[in-house]
Amino acid sequence: MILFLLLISRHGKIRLCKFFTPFTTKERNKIMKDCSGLVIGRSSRLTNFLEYSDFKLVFKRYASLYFVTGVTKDENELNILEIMHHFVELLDRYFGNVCELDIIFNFHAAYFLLDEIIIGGQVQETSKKAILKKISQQDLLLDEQFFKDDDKKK
Amino acid sequence: MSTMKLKEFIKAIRNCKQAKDERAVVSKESALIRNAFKEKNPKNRHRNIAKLLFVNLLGYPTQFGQVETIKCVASDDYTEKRIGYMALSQLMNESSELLMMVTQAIKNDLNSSKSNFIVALGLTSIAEISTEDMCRELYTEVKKLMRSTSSYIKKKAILAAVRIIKNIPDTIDDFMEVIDVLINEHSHSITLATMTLIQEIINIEPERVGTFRKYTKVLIKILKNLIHSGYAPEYDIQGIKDPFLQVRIIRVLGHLGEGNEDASDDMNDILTEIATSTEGSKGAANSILYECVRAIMLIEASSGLRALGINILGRFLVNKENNIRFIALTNLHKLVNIDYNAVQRHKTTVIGCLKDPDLVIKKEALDLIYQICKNTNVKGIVKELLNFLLTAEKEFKEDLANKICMAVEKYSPTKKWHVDTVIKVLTLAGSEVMDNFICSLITLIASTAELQNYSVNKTYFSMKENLEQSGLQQLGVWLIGEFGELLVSGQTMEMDDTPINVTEEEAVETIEKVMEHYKDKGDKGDVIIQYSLVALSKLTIRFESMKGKIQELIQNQVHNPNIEIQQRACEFMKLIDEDWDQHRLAIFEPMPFQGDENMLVDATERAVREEGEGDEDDLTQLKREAAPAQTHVPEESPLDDIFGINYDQQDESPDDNFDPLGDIFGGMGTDAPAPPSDPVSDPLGDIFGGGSATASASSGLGSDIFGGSPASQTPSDLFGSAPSAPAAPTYIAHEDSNIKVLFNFERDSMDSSTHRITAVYTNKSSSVLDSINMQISVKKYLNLQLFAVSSSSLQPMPTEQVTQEMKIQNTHEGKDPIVLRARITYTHVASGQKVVETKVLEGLPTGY
Repeated sequence: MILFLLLISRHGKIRLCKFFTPFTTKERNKIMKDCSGLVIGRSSRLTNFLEYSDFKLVFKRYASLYFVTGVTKDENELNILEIMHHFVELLDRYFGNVCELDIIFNFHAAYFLLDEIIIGGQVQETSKKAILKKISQQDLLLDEQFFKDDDKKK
Repeated sequence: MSTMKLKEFIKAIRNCKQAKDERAVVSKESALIRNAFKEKNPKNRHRNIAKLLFVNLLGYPTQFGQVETIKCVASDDYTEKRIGYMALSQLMNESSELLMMVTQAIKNDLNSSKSNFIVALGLTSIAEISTEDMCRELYTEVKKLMRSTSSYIKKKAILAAVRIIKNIPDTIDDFMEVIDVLINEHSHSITLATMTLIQEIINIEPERVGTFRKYTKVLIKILKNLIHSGYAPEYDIQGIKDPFLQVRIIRVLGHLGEGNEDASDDMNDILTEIATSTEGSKGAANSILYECVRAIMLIEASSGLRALGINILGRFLVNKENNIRFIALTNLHKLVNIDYNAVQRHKTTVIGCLKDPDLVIKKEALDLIYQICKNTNVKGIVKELLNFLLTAEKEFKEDLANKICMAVEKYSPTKKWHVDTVIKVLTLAGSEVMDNFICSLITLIASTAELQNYSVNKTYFSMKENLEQSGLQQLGVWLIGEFGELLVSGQTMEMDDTPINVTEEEAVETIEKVMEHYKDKGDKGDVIIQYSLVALSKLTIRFESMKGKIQELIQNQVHNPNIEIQQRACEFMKLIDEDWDQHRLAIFEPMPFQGDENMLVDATERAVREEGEGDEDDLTQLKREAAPAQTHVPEESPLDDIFGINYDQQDESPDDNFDPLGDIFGGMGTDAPAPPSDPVSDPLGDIFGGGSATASASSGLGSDIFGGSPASQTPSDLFGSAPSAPAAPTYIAHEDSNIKVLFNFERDSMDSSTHRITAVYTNKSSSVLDSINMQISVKKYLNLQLFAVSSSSLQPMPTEQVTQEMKIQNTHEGKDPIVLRARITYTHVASGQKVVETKVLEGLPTGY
């Protein structure tokens, strides 16, 4: 299973973090710090996998963001890379040509999207169409004041 | 009250030029939010929580928002609820006690009839943050929702159940009947979730795999339909039909086929089809092929299917993408024990991977190469590895050097090659080599009279030119101390038959230089200085004429800041004193050596050199080949004469409180004054006392005190490491912080191919261990008879043991080794933790 997913900027800032299994705050902070150190600046020609603590890190850089997952040792690393790509494509379709700024200003939307793709560290839906449909249905239910107002200015 | 909108807040933070500006903005806004919470003003509550989430991402404390988060979750407003649930998983985790407060709100949401999305929020939070108590409270709802008419709810409920069974495994039974229904659903997401649930149940309770085997045919059919279905754009990735689902089903199939021939036969065709017809060079296709290989390696695959799997790995190994090559290496690694020859064919390619700039690949390749090593090919492989050692970068050198030593120790065909190779490694990367390999080499040399002269001369000249290589110095100093008289004998010949002349003075000067060089060089340096002190003391009986100089050198260390060195120096100064004249000879004499129990395999039993092997082999590559062309066996082995004197004492195993000094000297029949027995206050008592823990654990410290090869760098061990007589072989099958499982081997007296193994479980924890069990599966050429454990629970006392007998008949005795796959389970009662450990046991002792 996937234990956590981090989106880290080139400068080491955490743009999104989701822990699918309990970690203490101390552990979370250590993981975030260590992952930044391990992944940033690593040449794209090298493997996208690293051993870390009791689990494996699988990561990939998309434009200015590093997508980093920690997965249990029995996971299929190649499949995990595909899952991350699945998420990236969905972000892209949802925001329309997504960039780092979209995720910074609409981190909540990115979390909502993630909740429809992965639950408790397991993939729950593989159809992008189905995911986007459910997301737009839920967005309609949201308070316009909060969501639209903040968003429309973009 | 803050009126700033979320977007404005984020902008304000992004406008901060310096960290201190950011801190100011955050603390101001945090204070405003805190006040808003205090005033119990529900307006803009969700916006405030959202801001807190952003603050949390930036790494600032946000605990004060937890109570408000719970209120949001319980709110009737959908926006508040959604933001509340998001914050729940971000701001809290299982350890937050506040979670109990949210349980009722989640329960209400699970029963909500307003919207499926509200139910979904509740299910997601169960899957991610639920505690054991929450699961107990909510699992009946989840179970009900697993039969929901909405597949959107159903899939989320199944994944919530995955979390529930992890938290409270006793609910698994309850969910089994639901799976019967779910397995027949024709929906990608439901099948995917169901596979995840089955997988998790198997992880938690492996014995349930038998119950699931009835689904084998259904799963094969689902997989077949999926592969042969028409083009469905929403599930298509790079021309592959739903790779996520394919991977999941294949993984479950792998478990179902493991150790079961019928199930394995059933899935033979579909796996063959996937292995041959999955096309595409992109990630999706490769992820499926990889999963397929994993399944093939797990099940009882036909030889044809296995060959297909190995071919895939072969193709992966030459793939231009590093990720794929890495996968190939890790899996070939797992395959070594199953099909050695198939892996061995890729030897050259794997060695080529050592050139890769990627450290991850290099390390994996090195591990694999080590696995491929055998007695027959070790020379060739090590020769190639040594070439890499010359050019290896710092991070890799250590791994490489130690792996070479490990391979040499385990597989070296002759002792001479062992000596030559390890010395070569020490010359190139001496500081990287772990102590235990140096110690093994010392044991080997010390127990082989024919090699002592050769080794001491060879090392002496290498160490003089490679002062930086600490490992080499360690070996060299020890050898000079122990065999100094061979070095200065003048009998050793150069290649061209000119005798090598080393004087006693030169030898002592060499040690002096080493001590000078390693002064104040940290722990490693201090260890070398301690070795040097021991060596110098031994030389007091070998080089009588140098006694004055030696005394001076030891005296220099009496004020060393390192307390161990200081103490050692004081002790040796005392021993040089003439009071000890009559005992000194006995104390510093060379010591008898037997095999070293710390070695991977006992290398001391090997032949010294191969038949017809010349002495002038590839050693000449060393910078200066000063090694003798012929090794002169001393006419009378220096060991011989002491065997008679001291050796008998080996069996006198001292008890825990024995007074070691009294014991040695008493045993020698001398009337040495018995030292005070308090080992702490008396430095001399302490030398020997330091080793007593090690010694009493093994056998007879008595005769061993000064000769033992230092087994580790802890100074108190310098004298320890008593070689013990060969006993019935044992093997540590498993050891963790709670339990240790030791195998005792015995050959059946009637049938030499039958091994009787007694597994002895001991409890290392402070809690009762319960439900102890071990299951073992074996390859077809082994016949296994496994008996029940003598008791399934184990009290937390080191004296308590549980045993389990097994009998293994190896029908390929002598051809193939015994390899077991063991699954050890137990429950740590105090923490309630259930441990399942699956491992492959290899390298079991054979020649006994």
